[in-house]
Amino acid sequence: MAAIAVVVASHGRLRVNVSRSTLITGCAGGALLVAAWLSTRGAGFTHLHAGSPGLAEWSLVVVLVAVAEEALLRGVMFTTLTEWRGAWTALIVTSIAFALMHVPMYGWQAVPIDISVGLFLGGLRAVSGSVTAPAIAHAVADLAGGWLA
Amino acid sequence: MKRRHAILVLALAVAALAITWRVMPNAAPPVYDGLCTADPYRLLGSNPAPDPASKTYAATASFQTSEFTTSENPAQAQVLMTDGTFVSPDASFTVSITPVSPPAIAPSDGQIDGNVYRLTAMTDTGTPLEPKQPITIVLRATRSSPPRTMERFDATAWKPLQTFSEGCGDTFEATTDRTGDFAMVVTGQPPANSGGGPPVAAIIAAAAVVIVAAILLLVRANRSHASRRD
Repeated sequence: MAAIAVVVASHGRLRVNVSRSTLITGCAGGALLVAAWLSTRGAGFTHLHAGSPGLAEWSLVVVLVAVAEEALLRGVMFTTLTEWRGAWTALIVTSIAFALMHVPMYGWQAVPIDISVGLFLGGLRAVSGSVTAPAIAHAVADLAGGWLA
Repeated sequence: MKRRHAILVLALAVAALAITWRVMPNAAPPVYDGLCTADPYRLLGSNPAPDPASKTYAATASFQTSEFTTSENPAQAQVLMTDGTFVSPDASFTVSITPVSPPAIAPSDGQIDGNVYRLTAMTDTGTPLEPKQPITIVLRATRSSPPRTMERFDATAWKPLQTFSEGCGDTFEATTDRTGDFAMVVTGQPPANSGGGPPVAAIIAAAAVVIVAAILLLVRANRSHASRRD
């Protein structure tokens, strides 16, 4: 909710662009994230949880969280930092912020991987010029993490 | 940022991801970061007690993909099996995972964290079965940091299994081709007391830092915008 409040107060810094190219970029980015994750796991580790109870509600929450995180980091913060200090600063700061946000859930050992994910999502933002692509990629990766865990 | 620079960042990030997952698979959570609500861990002998779980299968030469879990939230033990894991053409059989007292022999590389779970497969005539295919076992620990390793007790010693973090609820998974006793083991230092769920205060503090930083940046950016307009 706090993330949404910041986004609302951002006076147009969200940079939403729903076009075919951003949708394709987002889906391709999500697929790459999932592929990178699956490539490190043996065949016995992947199971489709399509019939699990509560999956629909869980999926909705996961998508909302992913979109809110992206709206805050790769939307408002990325645009503001780019205007202030340039895109490289925006990329680095938002990636570090993304990693720190996940420390309470996963611990400090997750920082390297979350910085990598943050750089990837920031790269998608820079390539597409819109928060739409990283939001889609983030949601796809999160959903796959639950459905295929 | 130029487009080719952005593409280079993407490529480097993918390489960093793959390397990180390869180098430290135990420490790598899934990308998934949805909300996680977890009840306190149930230790054997406590109230409420941890639940066993089992599933009975009809006699058949072809075993279908199957899974079953204990009833806690999240499940403290889960068993996943693929086609052909068990073969019992003449008698129905039951696969069970049950919390048991730890054996007298402790792991040599650390301490058991949580319960010991016994995985068995037995026909209704009392014949034990061994899996023909690897079984995936998911066990919950009391915490996920430092990363735990799932180990199997082979009657003489605990043997570590390649373990992956599942993230939510301090759960970990590993595959095994044997039945027996399994437990999460924390190496180096003893586990802290069971927390049961995410550290809410830390999450709120981290979120507050990010939100305050974002608001400060917005205020500063708005001021610079306004000064440029003037």
